[in-house]
Amino acid sequence: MSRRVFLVCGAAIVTALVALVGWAVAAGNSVVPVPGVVAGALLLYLLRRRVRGVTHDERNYRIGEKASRFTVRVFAFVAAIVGTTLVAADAGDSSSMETVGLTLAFSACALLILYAVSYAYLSRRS
Amino acid sequence: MKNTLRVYRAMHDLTQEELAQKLGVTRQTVLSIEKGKYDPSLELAFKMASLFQVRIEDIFSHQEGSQGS
Repeated sequence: MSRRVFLVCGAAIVTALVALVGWAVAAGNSVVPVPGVVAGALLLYLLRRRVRGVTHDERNYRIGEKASRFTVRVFAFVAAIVGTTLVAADAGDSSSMETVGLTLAFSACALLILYAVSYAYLSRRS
Repeated sequence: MKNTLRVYRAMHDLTQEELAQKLGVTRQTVLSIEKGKYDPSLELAFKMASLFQVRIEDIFSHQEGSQGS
């Protein structure tokens, strides 16, 4: 399979997954999305293995590392700021703002903890 | 880092795709190296030198403040 065919198939699979999840949310079905996403991911993995030639090399990995570092920094900063702002702006009546704010803030904390742990582990290995 | 990869590729009559296949990388990586936008790893540099039967210094030369990743 050529890389172009894989990209087209991958786009089709992702589109189908998005439609499936969208339908499940609209229909209130919480059972279908999980196996659907797992099946889609598995299908993508199997298709990728059949692609001829090199799909990822050192340059892709290096770019991915930089992109991941940037994403962690930006998300942690923005989530912490927005989260604490929402919690502080909550007048006490709207619990949804506080919930969203706390979710964002704790997500930022969890992300930073995971980053620190993985960094320490990888640093020790090399 | 400056490089003469394009010159050696031309000397051996290889397309970017062919060179990428021989090195086990994508064509985009070869293109980026030739443009000086990407500095290859030591392993990849050794592969290139071995493929063209030259020294690494014949292909790559370090410049102070040169762009690359």
